[in-house]
This record gives sequence, C-alpha cells and structure tokens, in this order.
Amino acid sequence: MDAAPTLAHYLAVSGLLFAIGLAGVLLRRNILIIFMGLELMLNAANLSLVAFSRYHLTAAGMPNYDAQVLVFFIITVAAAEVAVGLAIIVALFRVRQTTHVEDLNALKF
Amino acid sequence: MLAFGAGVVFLRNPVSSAMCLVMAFVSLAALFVTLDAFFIGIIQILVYAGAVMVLFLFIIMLLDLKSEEARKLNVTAWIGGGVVLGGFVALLAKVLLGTPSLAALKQPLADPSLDDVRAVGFALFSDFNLPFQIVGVLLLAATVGVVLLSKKELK
Repeated sequence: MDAAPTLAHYLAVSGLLFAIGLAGVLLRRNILIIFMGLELMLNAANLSLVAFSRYHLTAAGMPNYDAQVLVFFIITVAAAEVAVGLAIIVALFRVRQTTHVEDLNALKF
Repeated sequence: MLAFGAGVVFLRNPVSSAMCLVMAFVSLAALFVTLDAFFIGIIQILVYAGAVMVLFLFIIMLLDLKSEEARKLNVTAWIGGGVVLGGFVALLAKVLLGTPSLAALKQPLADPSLDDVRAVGFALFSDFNLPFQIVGVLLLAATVGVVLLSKKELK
C-alpha cells in the first residue's frame, strides 16, 4: 500500500468500531454481549484519542501525551467497570437465572 | 479488526463473541503501536486481552450460557437500532469527508527513539497527579464493591 494512513483513516476505523459497539448494545438481548459492546465503544474512543495525540504534535515535535494519559485513565476505569458490572451480572443470574434483558421486566410499565 | 468487532455482535454463541473480542482488542493494540503509542498498546494487551477477557470467559463459564437459538427477533428494536446506526454512520462520513484538515499526513517525530513510558509517567505524576490518586481510590472502591456483591447473601 503506497498511501500513508491519514488522521481521517484512523477516525473512520474508530467511528466504525463505535458503531459496531452501539449495534451490540442496541440489537443484542444478552446482557453479556451488551457489556462487550460497551467495551468496544470505550476502545473506539481510546483509538481516536491516541490518533489525535499522534497527529497533533507539540512544539517539541513529540506526541501530545495528555491524550495518552487520558487513555490510561479510561482503561483503568473500564477495568473497574467490567469487574463491578460482571459482579452485578453474576448476582442477577443467581436471583433470576437469566441473562436476557427481556426477562428482566420488573420495572416495565 | 472491524470484522472481529462485527463477530462480537453478530455471532450467536457467547464464547465465539468473547474470542472475537480478544482478537479485536489485540488488533486495536497493533493500531496503537502504529501510532507510536507503545505504552498504551502494551497496557491494552495486558488489561483488556488479559484481565478483562479472563473475567468475561470466567463469567461465561460460571453462568454456563448456552448458545441462544430461535429467540424471536424484536422487529422494533432492529428497526430502531438500524435507524440510529445509519444516522450515526452517515454523520460520521459527512464529518470525515467534509473536513479537509483531517487528511493531514503523519508528521515524523522529532525524536524517533521515543521512550513514551517515561513521558506518560512524567505527565501522570506531574500534571495529572490528583486524577491519578482519585483513580487509585476508585479502584479500591471497585474492589471492595465487587467483593461485597459476590458474597453469597446480600444483607
């Protein structure tokens, strides 16, 4: 491939990954798959942050590391969120014996 | 990577979804490395492809999920989801094609032998010291919360 990737390429990949994650959240009814879709969306945001960091160089000609620190924080928070979310799913499964969101209609009007 | 991401969403079996998610994370780490973000790439492999996916697979094993077949499709949800997704992708294409400054090529780095672990660590402990400590407290709270949630009977 002769064309070097531009910022728009990385942003397109990031946006499509976000769209796939959103599709997972909207279309799937298994709560675990919904969770995986959430992870994909977080990672898409990370990808666009790192792309902006690489293409927006500082005056010294180095990547802007503020974005990478933000990605570090996002990964940390996402790990904590996965742990808590999966614990909630396990507690839910103990009570209701299902992971389907349509079977969880206690709050349905 | 996008193929694996689509596999996460559209495969029926949760285990295949999880495996596709692993591959999506690994290829995302490869993209980070092409963007000269080696530290983030390694963290991605360690945290996501390692820890998070082990958690996911462990939960799938624990819950003994069967592949979901023959659930009837919720037509309204699919139509609504399709509309939202189509709008999102159209908006994305419009922004990406309509912004010429996004076509910038990658400028070479001033110092190609960058040690970005040192740079990220320096930023983390100087400019972002307070958020760093708050994240530490958040992790502690998450750990305690998970232990509490996983106890047999909630009081």
